[in-house]
Formats: sequence, C-alpha cells, structure tokens
Amino acid sequence: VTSPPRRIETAVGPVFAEGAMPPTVLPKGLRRVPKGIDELATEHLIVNMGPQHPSTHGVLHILLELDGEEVVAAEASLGYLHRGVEKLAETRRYHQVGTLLDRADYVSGIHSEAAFAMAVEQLATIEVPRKAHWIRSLMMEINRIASHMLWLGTFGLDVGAMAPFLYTMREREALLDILEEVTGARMMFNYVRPGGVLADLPAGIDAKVRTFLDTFDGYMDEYDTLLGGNEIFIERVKGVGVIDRSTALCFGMTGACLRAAGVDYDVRRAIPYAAYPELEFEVPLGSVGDCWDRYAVRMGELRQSARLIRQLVDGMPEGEHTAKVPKLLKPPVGEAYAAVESPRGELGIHLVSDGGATPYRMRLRSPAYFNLSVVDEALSGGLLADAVATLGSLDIVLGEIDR
Amino acid sequence: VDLFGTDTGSAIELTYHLRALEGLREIFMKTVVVYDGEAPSVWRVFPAALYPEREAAELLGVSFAAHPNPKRLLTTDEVSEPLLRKSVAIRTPGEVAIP
Repeated sequence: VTSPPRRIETAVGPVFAEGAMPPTVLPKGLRRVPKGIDELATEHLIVNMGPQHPSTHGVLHILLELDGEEVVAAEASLGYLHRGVEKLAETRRYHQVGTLLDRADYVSGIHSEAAFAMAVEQLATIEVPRKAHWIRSLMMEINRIASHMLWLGTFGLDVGAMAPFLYTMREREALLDILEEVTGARMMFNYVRPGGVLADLPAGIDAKVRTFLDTFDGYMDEYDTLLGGNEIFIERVKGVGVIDRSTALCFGMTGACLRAAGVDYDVRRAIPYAAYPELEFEVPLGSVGDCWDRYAVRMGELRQSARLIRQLVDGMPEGEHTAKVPKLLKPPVGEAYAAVESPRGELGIHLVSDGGATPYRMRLRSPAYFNLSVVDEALSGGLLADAVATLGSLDIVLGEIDR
Repeated sequence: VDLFGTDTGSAIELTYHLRALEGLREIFMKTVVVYDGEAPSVWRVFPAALYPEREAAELLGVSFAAHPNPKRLLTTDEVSEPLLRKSVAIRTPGEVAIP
C-alpha cells in the first residue's frame, strides 16, 4: 500500500489546490472525489490512523476516507504484528505450541492455551480429570476479568475518561498477582497443557481469590458511577457505532460484540466445555448493538465472571490436576476443532494431524479478526471521533488478529 | 464462519467452517485447489470470508475469483513466497540475509 502522506486533520478538512498534493497511488477501494465547482466543497481526505495511534490498541493501521469530519470509507491494514504463529506451530511439538499461543492473544493467554489443549485432547482422546477442568475454568474466568479490565480502562481512555484506567489497573494488578502465583507468569502463562494443567493450585490461593471477589462488587459499582452514570460517557457511546444483528452475523462476529446486537450465542453455553456445564451463569444481551450495548454486555459479563469464580472456588473438587500424557505426544491422523469463549469471542483451534510429533496444520480462528472485519461497515457514516469509540468498543487485540 | 487452507503436499485444501447458530448446526466443507489455482470467492454469501480469503491467497498462493479487494492482508509486498506452503522452510535469524 502506498499511502498518502500523513496530514493533520482539521475541523472541515483542508482544501487542496490542484496539484498541491503530491501524486500518490490511492489504495484500491478508496477514491478521491474531484473538487466540485463550489469553492466551499471539500476534497475527500485520506487519513492514516495508526499504526502509532494510541486508540488503535497496538499496531492497527486504518485508512479513513474523510469528508470533513465524516468517515466515508474505512479500511483496516493489518499485519504489523504478523509473526507466523500458524507456521511456527508446524515446527513445534504439541507440548511446545502453548508458548506460541500465549503470544498470539497476549491479553488472555489461558483461553488460547485451553482451546489448543482441548483440540489435542480430542485428537489423542485424552480423558481430562474433573479437577483440571475446574482449574481451567477458574483460570479462564480470572483471565477474562483481567482482560475486560484492560479493555474497560482503555475504552475509557478512548472516549476521554482518564480516571477509570487507573482504577482498572488496580484490579488487573491484583488478578495478575493471582495468575502469577498459580502459573508462574503474569501474561505468558503456558499453564494449560494437553491433558490438564501444569501444576495444582498453590495452598491459600482460594483465600486470595475470595479477598479479591469481596472487593470486586464494590469496584463494579464504582465503575457504574464513573462511566455508566457519566453523562459525557453516555453521550459518547449511546447510539454510536451501531452494528446490527444481521451485520454482526454476516461478518462472523462473536463474543460481546455479537451479544450486544441481541444474539444469544456464548460458546460456554452453546458448546459447553471444561467445568461450564456444571456452573450457573447468565449471558447478558444487548439489543441495539451500539457502543453502549457492548459496554453494558461486558459489564454484565464481569459480574457473571465474578459469580462463576465464586462457584469455582467453592466447589473445587479433589483429585489429579492432569492426566497421564506421554512426553512425546503423537496423536493419530485426523482433524479436530475446539473452541472456547475468549474475552473477545469464539476462539477456535483447528488442528490437522498427520500422526507426527508436530501439528501438520494449526488454524487459529481468532475472534477479534472477525470482529475487526466489520470495521468498514461500522465506521462509515459516522464521525471521526466516533470511529475511535467504536474501535475501542470492539476490544481488539492485534497479537491475535495478525498472529 | 471460518476459512483456511492447508498444503496437503500436492495441492491446497481449503476448509470452510460454517455454523448456523439456530440449532447449532456445524459443517466443515473441503475443497481442493491446485497450486496457484483459483477458487470462487464466497464473500457475497458470507462477508466474513473477506479477510480469510485474502489471507489464504497470500499465504498459500491461491486466488479467489471476484474478490472485491484482493490485496495482501498480513504480509508486505516484499514477501514473495506463499509462506504457509510446506515447501517454504522456516529460516532462523542467522540464515536471513540482512540488507
């Protein structure tokens, strides 16, 4: 892509004299509208948002065609974080792939590890002990809250609320401490292994989780006041970035973005895995599919996650934390697909095995990848400032999109 | 909905993963395309395939007819090989010539 030079956008957009703009090749799909007879007509301006823009959450590059402040077309340009995780996985043994997946979705590593472990277990028909299922679910829910906390803070930043970020980091820190105590790492866990989990829960961890939960409900009320009850915040998100039911379904969106449009689809309930069939929880739904709904659905999910964690800690069964799995795992020839509900949606791993010690092909169905593909539909017709809010509400993680 | 390609050693196998949320019916469909061959784009039926088709095109060296935006998605124009093919080996940093 030969992008036009970066320009500072103004309220109405600069009017270019003929030939003042350096000759550039416009990306396909974006067109420059010729200047009309009316001297006040503005030329369409193409703005590069990112890859260094603070609200793109990483290295996303979006080409925006603007008419004044209005977005006419938007196109995401990906790949700045492409490391070839799928290719690399073909050279790693089954026990080693987890480290790659941690780095794919670096905000919720447990989920991608669990999806991979479940796919391997399907292929190699490994029976997972009940306790391993429960530990996995517990870690996944803790990781979900940690991930949503990061989203909540950065979403607040995107729409101009500075304070919530500082509070969400406080909670995230407490959760990362718990995760560190259990898994040994704060972000790159490599904890969920085929057959179970790496290690049993350390003694005394349930007390720490309970201490966190006791304060969490109060914190949630705090956020409802800070953001949900904030007139400026409501103005910025209500009715903005509407992605309706059919659009969301067409583009393969999953997770909170799909549920915000009123579609009751949660992998935890639709295709139950780990300990979820034994647990009670609700799936919060939205109706319109605007930024507010996505915010409200995630806030509901946070409360549900806290409820799930309480059940998981209270009912943690006794027993082995892992099945007996050979050091060199060679699953029979075949294919398997396993999906989990990651904080962003349906995270699936499709494995193809040729009977060897490494996967023949691994496909990571990344939820944010599909959630982002709606970007043109969602941003066009809105204002530039709303594009930032919409993008923030999609909760994208570039590590997982670019893989 | 998902779509991805696999290099089977003799051709590219495209796997379409479709799911209907009502009743949760799920199918995996496979089709085989020769190397550098062409498959029809399914984006009119499933707009979700827009990205995966671009990805499969650049990483496996197939093309999709009537794709509205057949640009590269993840890699830059400097990458000339279809990286996910089995014939393309992974190079360690030492083997890569630094310009």
